[in-house]
Amino acid sequence: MDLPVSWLREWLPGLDMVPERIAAQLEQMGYELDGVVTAEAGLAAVQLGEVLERHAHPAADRLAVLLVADGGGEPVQVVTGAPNGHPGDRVWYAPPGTTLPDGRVLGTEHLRGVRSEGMLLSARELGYVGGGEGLWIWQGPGKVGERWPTVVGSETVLQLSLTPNLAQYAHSVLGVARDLAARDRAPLPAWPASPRLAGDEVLVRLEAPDLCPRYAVALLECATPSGTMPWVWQRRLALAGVRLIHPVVDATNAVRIDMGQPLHAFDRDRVRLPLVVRRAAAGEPLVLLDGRTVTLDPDDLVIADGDGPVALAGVMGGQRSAVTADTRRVLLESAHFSRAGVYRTARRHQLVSDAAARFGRGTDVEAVLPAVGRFVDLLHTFGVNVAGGAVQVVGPVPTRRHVLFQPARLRIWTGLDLDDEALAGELDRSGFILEAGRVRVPSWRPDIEGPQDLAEEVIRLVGMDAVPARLPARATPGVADPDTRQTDQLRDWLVAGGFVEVVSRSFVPSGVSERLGLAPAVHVVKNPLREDEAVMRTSVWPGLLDAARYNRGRGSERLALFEVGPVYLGTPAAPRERVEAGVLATLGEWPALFGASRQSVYDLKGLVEELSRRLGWRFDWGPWTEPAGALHPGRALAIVRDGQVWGALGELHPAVLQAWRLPRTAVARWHVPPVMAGQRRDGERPVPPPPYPAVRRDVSLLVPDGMPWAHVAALLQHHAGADVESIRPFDRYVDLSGTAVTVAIRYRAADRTLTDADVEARQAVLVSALAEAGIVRR
Amino acid sequence: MGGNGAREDWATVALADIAAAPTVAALEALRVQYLGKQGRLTGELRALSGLPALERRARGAMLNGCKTDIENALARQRELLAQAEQSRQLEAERLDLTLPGVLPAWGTLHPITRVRRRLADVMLRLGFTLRTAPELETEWYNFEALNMPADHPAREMHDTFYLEAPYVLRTHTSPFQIRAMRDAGGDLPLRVATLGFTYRRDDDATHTPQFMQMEGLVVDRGIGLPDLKGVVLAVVRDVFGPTERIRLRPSFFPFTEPSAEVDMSCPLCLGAGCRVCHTGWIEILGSGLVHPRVLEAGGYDPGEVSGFAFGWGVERVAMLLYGLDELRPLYQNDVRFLQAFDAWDSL
Ligand SMILES: [Zn+2]
Repeated sequence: MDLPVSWLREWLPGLDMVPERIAAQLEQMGYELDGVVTAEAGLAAVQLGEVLERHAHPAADRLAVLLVADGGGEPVQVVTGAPNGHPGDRVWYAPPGTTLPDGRVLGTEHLRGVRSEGMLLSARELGYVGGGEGLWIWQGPGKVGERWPTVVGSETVLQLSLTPNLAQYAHSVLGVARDLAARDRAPLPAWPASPRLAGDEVLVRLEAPDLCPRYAVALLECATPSGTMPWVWQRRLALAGVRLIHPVVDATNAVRIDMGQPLHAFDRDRVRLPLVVRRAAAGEPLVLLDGRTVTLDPDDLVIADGDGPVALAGVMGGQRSAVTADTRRVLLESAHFSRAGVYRTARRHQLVSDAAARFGRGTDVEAVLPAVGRFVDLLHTFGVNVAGGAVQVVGPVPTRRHVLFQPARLRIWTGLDLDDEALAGELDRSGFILEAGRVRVPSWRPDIEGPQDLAEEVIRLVGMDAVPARLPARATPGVADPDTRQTDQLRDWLVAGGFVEVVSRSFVPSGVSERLGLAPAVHVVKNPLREDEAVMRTSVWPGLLDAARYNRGRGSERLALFEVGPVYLGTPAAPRERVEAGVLATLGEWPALFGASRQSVYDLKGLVEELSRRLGWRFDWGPWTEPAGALHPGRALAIVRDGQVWGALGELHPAVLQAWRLPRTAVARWHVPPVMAGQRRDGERPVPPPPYPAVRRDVSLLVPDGMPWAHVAALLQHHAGADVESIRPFDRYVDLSGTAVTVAIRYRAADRTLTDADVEARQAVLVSALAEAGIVRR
Repeated sequence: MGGNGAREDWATVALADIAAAPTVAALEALRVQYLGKQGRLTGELRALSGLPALERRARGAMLNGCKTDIENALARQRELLAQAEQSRQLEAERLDLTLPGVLPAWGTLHPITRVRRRLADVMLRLGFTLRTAPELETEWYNFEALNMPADHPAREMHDTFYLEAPYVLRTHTSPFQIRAMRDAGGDLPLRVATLGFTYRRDDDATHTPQFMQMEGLVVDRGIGLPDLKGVVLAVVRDVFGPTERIRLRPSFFPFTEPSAEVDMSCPLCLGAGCRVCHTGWIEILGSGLVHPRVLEAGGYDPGEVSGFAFGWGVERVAMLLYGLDELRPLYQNDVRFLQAFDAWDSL
């Protein structure tokens, strides 16, 4: 809401604050301030000049060359196309550098060979209507050489944003003025005088009091406008966003902005009285002001005359009864419509209007008649002589609502050290009146629902700065979230392993999960911002791949990335969120200064095994049987837990590498199991290592073609005695005699030092057992 | 020097030769020359048997002294030669350590994780129990239970991403309030916090459609705005430093009443006013006393208890903490950028 400060002062003539202070006060009351702007800042250099000479332009019939005194030294020469502006006329002169309201920036030009410094202005060019054709020949006050802001007065605009609660009662000049007065401990602004009710003819019948508790009409005879709207008002309305149309319509707009009460003007001669305020008949048509035809519903409220609906109540008038330039007899409506009713009707017919927006937020039932008085005053001010005729109102003014006054609770909630009387005094400033343990809520405060709202009102008046700070009285022990602790531990170990954490969006393009052989997307965003953010991810892989591509594209050679984050599974009707960990590492030579380290898929495999061991997650490796997807089919493994595939590891498929423009890359992902309540770690308890030395024996084994290591390892495990501590392959080569694997076997007894003889005996048992399976010593 | 009588010339020569031996091999040759089976000293000792007893005793003592001297000299020279050999070898192994260091493959945590942990840590120390809550939330938890019925205008403030009804991507962490209160089953005091992703259809320099929020909730008898102010001040000071100030401004949220927007003194200019804050104050979080209807939805009697809640954008904290102008780089995952946070955080 753009609020000209001079308009605010209409309600608060005694307000002794500069605009910045007003703004600061309003901020303390919950208004969001977008800016305090000096209006017409571009016109600051425009000054009143006097035409000294007027000559014909030597090269153009339609142009004239004027010499203008601007109060300085030499007169300035300006070329104009205006037919007026003769010696002795006072005109508005804009020197080079001026920015006009339409955005033009003036300079010094040569028009058909004649120098022209700046411009002489019409009223329209200054942003005003009236003042005749051509240059604005100024009849008002001011001396030659005085600037525009000095002569017409400056205007400051408060650019306010209203939260929904403020919009209910402060979306008007009067509403803001009330808040400001209360805050300033000044009397609340008085209502404008209501017109006297008059006339015997029945002008209106109210048939739907639930949707319209109160409805007033006034018959007004409007003379032909005797002048133009004062420019102060022109400027106010322009700054408030109103385009001038017709004095009657302008005045209804002005009252809506001024008091928050929308009005509607009918052409008296185009309606057949009396009006009826009623629910629409099903299917009844109405042609609206903007030319659209709506088909009405019994839930819509209409204003009808003898020939059918003439307005969709609170939303928009009908075309048939609209005010035109020729309208002289006006039938003015000022009504209180149900907020929910107007909101529903505007929504149902997808209609947007200032009136609907205002009624939709809630209006003040007690403003219905004063608004008519204000309208008549403003119309006079706008240059239209109005003769009052019949004024009628139907529907009672409801009694004001009450809210319990609970001073003890108000003190708890606000923390303010105010006694009962002081609290009541604060509320009284905003128009809340204490009556026998309850406060009567002012009619303009539909936002007040209960005692807690009174706490807010007191705070708005006293200020949040008066609230002390303290920590809650009763102490509680904070307990960490076990799942977060677990995933943070995982992150720390991944970082220790040299991996960089990325955080990706939860949205992925549709189809990417399927393409990567991941769980198909379950949750589709119905209104995504972009096509590539259409579904919720089922794995962190797409984000990791994108991050890898992004960094490769920016010159990073080796990448080791991880993400631990939520993935979205289940069904659309029963979503299930799980935490997934994913890692990605580019493979091959990692460039270093002298020499290079190699990174292979086995490094990633070891990482997963080690992380799982540390976090106490037991799992098995299984064959990867998915037919297509992200992984190289010959270099992939499933991570299996409790018979379920729990994740995967492998090198990326060449097609995926190509699509994401990556070098050979290994990836893994696995679900992080939630920590169960009372769960004990199934990891290993720390035990001091045995004091006896280990003995290592290396043995080279010839393994039959095609036999995987896991098979060899299983045989070794099976035949290894209690004293075998570890079995680890460390070399492997293929020659004519087959595949040879060199295995390091470490022996260690828990209770004594093993002798060479002990070890040889155990080694012999192992080797002979292997021989039976076709694995011989080389 | 043992023995009687003057050292004979050959022995003096032997000691001098040993001290001058340039290599281990030359030293060994000298050892053989004097102490070997055919060596000079061995010969002299052998010749003792032909001497009279008195003379033999005196000369024997002298020769034994010589033997000890020669053996000591050999050992000393051997040690010196070994040291020289090692020095030569070490010299040959000299590296040019003016070459640049090789950087380790260093892992690093994402700034969002860093800030999340920092905030979680503060909340824990302030006695808040941390918990998680679903991101795919029902409209009831996200709106209705938080005093935003179906046609409430405030719903339009939340640019919601819709999933298959009744689910939405939660627009704030506040549904956690309802879940936490219901799980507590009426117990007092309740002091809980959560950190997690939330979603709104908003994308510009200072908004991303996905962002992380921290939310805290306290319910007990006698809770009011001073508790809110005290806790928020404690959190702000813990994160940004003990001289931070905050100010509250009335605001509006459907699920709190009264509601307050919290500003903190700008940590970049220490409240003097700068390019980022203009006024010396920076709007940081929304808060308020829990609305009676929300307490009811959580199973508490608003006539008996009251509470406060506040929600803070984790990215906003990150921007202020790290002096970032834009949110976007936080989600671009540029490794060079991510790795820059270690040096900052270690300060
Ligand atoms: Zn600043």
